[in-house]
Amino acid sequence: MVYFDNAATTYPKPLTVRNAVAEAMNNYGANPGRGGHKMAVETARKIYECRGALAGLFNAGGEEDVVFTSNCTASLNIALKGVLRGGEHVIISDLEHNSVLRPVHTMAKAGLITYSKAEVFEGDFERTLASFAKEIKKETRMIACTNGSNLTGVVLPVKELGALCKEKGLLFLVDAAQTAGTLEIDVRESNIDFLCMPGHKGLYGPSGTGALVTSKGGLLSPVYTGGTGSMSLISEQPGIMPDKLESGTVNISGIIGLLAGIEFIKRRGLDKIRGHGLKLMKALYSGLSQIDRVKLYTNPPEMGAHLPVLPFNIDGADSEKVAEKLDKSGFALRGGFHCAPLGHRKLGTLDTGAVRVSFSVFNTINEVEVFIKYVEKLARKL
Amino acid sequence: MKKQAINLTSVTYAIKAQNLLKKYGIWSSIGKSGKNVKGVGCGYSIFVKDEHSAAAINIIQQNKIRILSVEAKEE
Repeated sequence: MVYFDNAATTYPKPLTVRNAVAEAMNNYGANPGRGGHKMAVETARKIYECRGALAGLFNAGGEEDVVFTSNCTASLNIALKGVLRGGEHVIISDLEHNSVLRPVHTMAKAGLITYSKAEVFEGDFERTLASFAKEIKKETRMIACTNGSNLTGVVLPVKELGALCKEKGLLFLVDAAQTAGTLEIDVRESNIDFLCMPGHKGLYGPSGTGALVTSKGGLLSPVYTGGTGSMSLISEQPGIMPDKLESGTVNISGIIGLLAGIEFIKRRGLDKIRGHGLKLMKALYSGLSQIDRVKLYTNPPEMGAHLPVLPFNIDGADSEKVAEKLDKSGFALRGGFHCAPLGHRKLGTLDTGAVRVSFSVFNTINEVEVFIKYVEKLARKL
Repeated sequence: MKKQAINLTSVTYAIKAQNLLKKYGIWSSIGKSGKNVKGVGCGYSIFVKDEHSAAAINIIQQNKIRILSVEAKEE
């Protein structure tokens, strides 16, 4: 099988990650932050190490600014629902995944907040920035946007948006579902208050892992409350971070696997990872653009403007059908709507959906070349 | 040997404190706080030798880690 569905979750995971999960199951079986026995403390130390690795990767203030969650959606919900108050206004982009759109829309439908959508202009950071600025009003509390689209791979100007938020006194939330482990993200340089990410995509950790990186934990009301292993005799949720936002036992083996994933990408280097993705994407774009009936929706991929994610369609064919045919030929990729209704509306693909190719460090140029030949064959047949 | 227990709020801060002390050459161990510190229940402590306790407390405070209390421990 050739796996091109890495925007959903990366596969395979590095051997070091798989080994780390097994080692965690064997040697770090105690509950971190609860008991005081050796294994509990050693397990807590591994969890802490992963907090440190994430804090280092994103230049966060400290380990306590890293909250472990079950996935990026959980991180986004904790941040959005934790900080937004009645009557406030949020600006999202017109490329948001449902993980941002739905929490915001749900709160708006309940009459708690209002929200606007700012248009993103592919490869044009200035126009995108102006489009966000245009939506700011006196009730606006936050800009909450993706760092890069899970459908089109289009990158948003996070650094510039962070500067805008700082200037206007707004909070800034970034959904790094597709960019954590791919793009350089510096929460302090980009004034990011809430950085939300999955552990199982570009960070190459196991599924069931995610993180919220924030120095603004004090602003958040916890969505979940409960046991934290700290201050057990008081009924109030402890205010200390990360305990305040991290009730219940964390995913120990997942987090230890995530630590190995972060070490993997650090060894490989983000530059090299980006370069590899772009090389494959350029080859794919060039090959697909020469096939009759294949429709592409974005400009040719460029460093800094696109992620290794590309939607396409075969004219007149349903995207799910194309994905199904490709699956039978040994290619795993995703058709349909990718939990991204806003993006599909923008592309004009609300009827057909799109077939999405997304790469990881393990994909090769040979796989891309073979894939292009299969698509060519399929486009003739369908 | 006499030790001092520096009682902290959570295991995260206990490990953070221990790592900091290590950088300054101060050896410490981590364990649960021995009693109901300040009436709030579970917490973690780092244990340092008596002669290192003043320096350890100073380092921990300088790094803005909240100390709940300090108490002598007999080992």
